[in-house]
Amino acid sequence: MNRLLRAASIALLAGAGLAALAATGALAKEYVIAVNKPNNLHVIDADARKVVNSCTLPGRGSPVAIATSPVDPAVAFVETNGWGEVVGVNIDSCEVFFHAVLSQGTVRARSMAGVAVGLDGKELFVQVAETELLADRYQIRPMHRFLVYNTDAGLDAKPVRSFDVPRGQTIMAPSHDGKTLWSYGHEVRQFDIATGKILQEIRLNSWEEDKPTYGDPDGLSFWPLYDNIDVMIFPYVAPVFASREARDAGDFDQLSDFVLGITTVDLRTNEWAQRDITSFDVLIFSMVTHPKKPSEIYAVYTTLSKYDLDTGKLVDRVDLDHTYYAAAISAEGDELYIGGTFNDVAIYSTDTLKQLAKVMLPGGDQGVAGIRVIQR
Amino acid sequence: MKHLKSFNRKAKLLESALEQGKADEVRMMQTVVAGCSSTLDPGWEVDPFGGVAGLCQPMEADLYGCSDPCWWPAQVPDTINTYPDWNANAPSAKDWRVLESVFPSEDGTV
Repeated sequence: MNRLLRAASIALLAGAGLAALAATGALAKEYVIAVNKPNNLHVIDADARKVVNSCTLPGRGSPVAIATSPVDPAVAFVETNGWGEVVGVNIDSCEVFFHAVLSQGTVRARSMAGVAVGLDGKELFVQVAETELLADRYQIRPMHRFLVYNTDAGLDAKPVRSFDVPRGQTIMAPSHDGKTLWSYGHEVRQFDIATGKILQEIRLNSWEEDKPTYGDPDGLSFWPLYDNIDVMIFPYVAPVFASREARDAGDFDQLSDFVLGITTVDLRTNEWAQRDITSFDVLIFSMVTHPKKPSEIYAVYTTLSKYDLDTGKLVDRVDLDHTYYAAAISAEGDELYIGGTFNDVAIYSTDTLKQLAKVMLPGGDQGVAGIRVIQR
Repeated sequence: MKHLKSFNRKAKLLESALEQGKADEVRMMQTVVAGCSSTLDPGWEVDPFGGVAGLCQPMEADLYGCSDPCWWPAQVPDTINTYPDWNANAPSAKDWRVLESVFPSEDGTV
């Protein structure tokens, strides 16, 4: 059902006194959740192209990451306040119902955008990097940790358990199996949420034996942009050498290509793939596939590009009026939502790559924070 | 790396770690771009292609995206830990003109 027909259906049913039907999945509306400085959360009505609610979060701000709940679209958890706290807020009333300070005692903790709600909505997972502030030195804790909170733990939330993870794990996404979550880091890993055991590991930083002619990848994945597609996409760029010997010698005079590729994790099946797309020619910060045509993939940074994954060909590319970091897509696949950097979220047609709207957020920059998409 | 010369103490520590075969303890910033650590990842002064067209446009679009994660190539204060109020008067990087330099504190703690 296209956007206009859906809107007309809602109006008709509401006028006929059947507004209750508008709450069903078939007539759900789509919203984009964004955060910006100093410490705001905004709810954007994607159809109306405007901010319909704004919340001021407590604390000094610079929100960095948003975790939405798979079971309750009315709540969002925001990593903020120097990346040392997580705040849970009702996006309609702006009531703060959850607050966790990650640092405890002399241990200072910071989270690098690693926050996710478990599939049943009952647990919140937060990645932390910890440093103990001793009297005469800083002692870095060699392992990072995932802290696990109950989402109903209130305003002085403490973790109910935790497990060590390799350094560098950041963003997370819950698997549909309800028992594991995936996290991006030096390698992409699947963790058992009960024990912390690593169940699968997709090599990136240590892929040299898997890809004998490839140099080390350069990857950037700082935003959980799997909404509406249930696939985590982690872009990489890597040099490809003419031979393994040339690779091992770091002989860039024998470079055969420099590629853009992706590592993908299907959260529904826990299956993953790693593939090159094309030769690297523009910087990419995030990518998202079409929910109904998975061979179409969109990439954003200072340009917006559309590629055909089957052929590796660039289908279309447009210049953006400024750099954006994070690309998400509508449930229908007809519109891209791009955010990050300044204080606007732009909406583009996936068909024509034309800008359809630009929604201004009250307040300052989004900075490195990404966006999330919900239906309700 | 062979064309780089260590200039300060931290760089020399990195170099000695490599010489001692302890490179795994000094993780260069690959596949994880955020956090206060050393990186030789281009993208601030020049883009991966050696020019400037691939940098964030305009430059200030990237200012807080780099300073907030303490990504030192941005050469701005660490707003996570050390200078949390550095950009309090400029929630938008478009107001970068009000941003000021920072200097070590008199007691040397910052």
